[in-house]
Amino acid sequence: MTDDRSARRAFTLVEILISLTLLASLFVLLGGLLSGMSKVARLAEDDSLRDREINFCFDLMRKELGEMILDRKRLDYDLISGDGFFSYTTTRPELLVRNSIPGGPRRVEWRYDAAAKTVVRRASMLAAGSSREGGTPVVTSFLEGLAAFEVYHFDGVQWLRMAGISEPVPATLAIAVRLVFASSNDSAEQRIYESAFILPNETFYEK
Amino acid sequence: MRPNSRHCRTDRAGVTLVEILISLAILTLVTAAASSGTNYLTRRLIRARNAAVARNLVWKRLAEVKSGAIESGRNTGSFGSDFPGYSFAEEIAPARIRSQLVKGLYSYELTVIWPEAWQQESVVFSTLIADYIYEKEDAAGEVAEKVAEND
Repeated sequence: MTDDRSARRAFTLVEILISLTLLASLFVLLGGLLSGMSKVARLAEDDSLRDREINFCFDLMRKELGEMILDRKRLDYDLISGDGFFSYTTTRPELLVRNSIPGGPRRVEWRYDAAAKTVVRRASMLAAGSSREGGTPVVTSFLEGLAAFEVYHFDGVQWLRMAGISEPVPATLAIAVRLVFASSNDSAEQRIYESAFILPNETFYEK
Repeated sequence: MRPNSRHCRTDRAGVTLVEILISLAILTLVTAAASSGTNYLTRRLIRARNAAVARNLVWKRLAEVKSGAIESGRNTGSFGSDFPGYSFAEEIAPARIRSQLVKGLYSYELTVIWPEAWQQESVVFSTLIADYIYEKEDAAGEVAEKVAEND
């Protein structure tokens, strides 16, 4: 009996080794789990931020194009597009400036900045009745990490990309914008978001 | 009494195999639950991403439909190689307002479908669309005839 008790009084080397091994494997498991969780959280945050920004830009384009005014004879009232940019004149009050004075058409341009990998929106007041730009333009950049910004117009059958330097968009009822993002972990994979905007019916076609 | 109690304690000192096994089982359960939770979150994340793409494709298809002459019927199609796996099914029907057919007004329902890990996911979009841009004199006559036939 005394022998038995003394044998059980302390842990043996083997027991300690086994427990250490178990602990180590548990730590490895938990570490993998934690890193996986933090990765998910980071991805979710990036995604939701980007998602909101994409939605904001698309909504802004949709609303401003919905109140577009167009005069094919005047350059600053025409819908102009090309490789990585498009611009239009809208009557919608400027959204991105506090206390902006309402009234008067605004010239808005979205242009891809290849160096900064963002899209830059530039909105300036058009002085009423003249082609002179008034006031300081509002310049905002969106969508960090953008790999490409493409503009398409719909000819009734298919979407055609605006690829020139700068030209008037042919008469159309809808234009589409495609945003391409390079995936953060795998550079070969791309994430493409594309939305289309219906122009007001009276824009190009008179009743 | 004293030696007896000491004897008892020494007998129980240490951890038995059963206790170790139970604790290991509990730990395994907890770890499995946590990792399945992580998996679930990842899947939800990918699903949310794909749904965002699909919501924008809804606008693209709507723009295509509104740009052409609108005809009643069902139609299916895909969004090309840039959006692999995404397809749509749509239905256009003459719209009724207070059970009266309205000339040039259609109800439009669009379903965008894409494959997710275990099943297919979809978003459904429905609206009323008006066809009055491309309507010419003869086309207007046809519509009026159709309305008369339906009545």
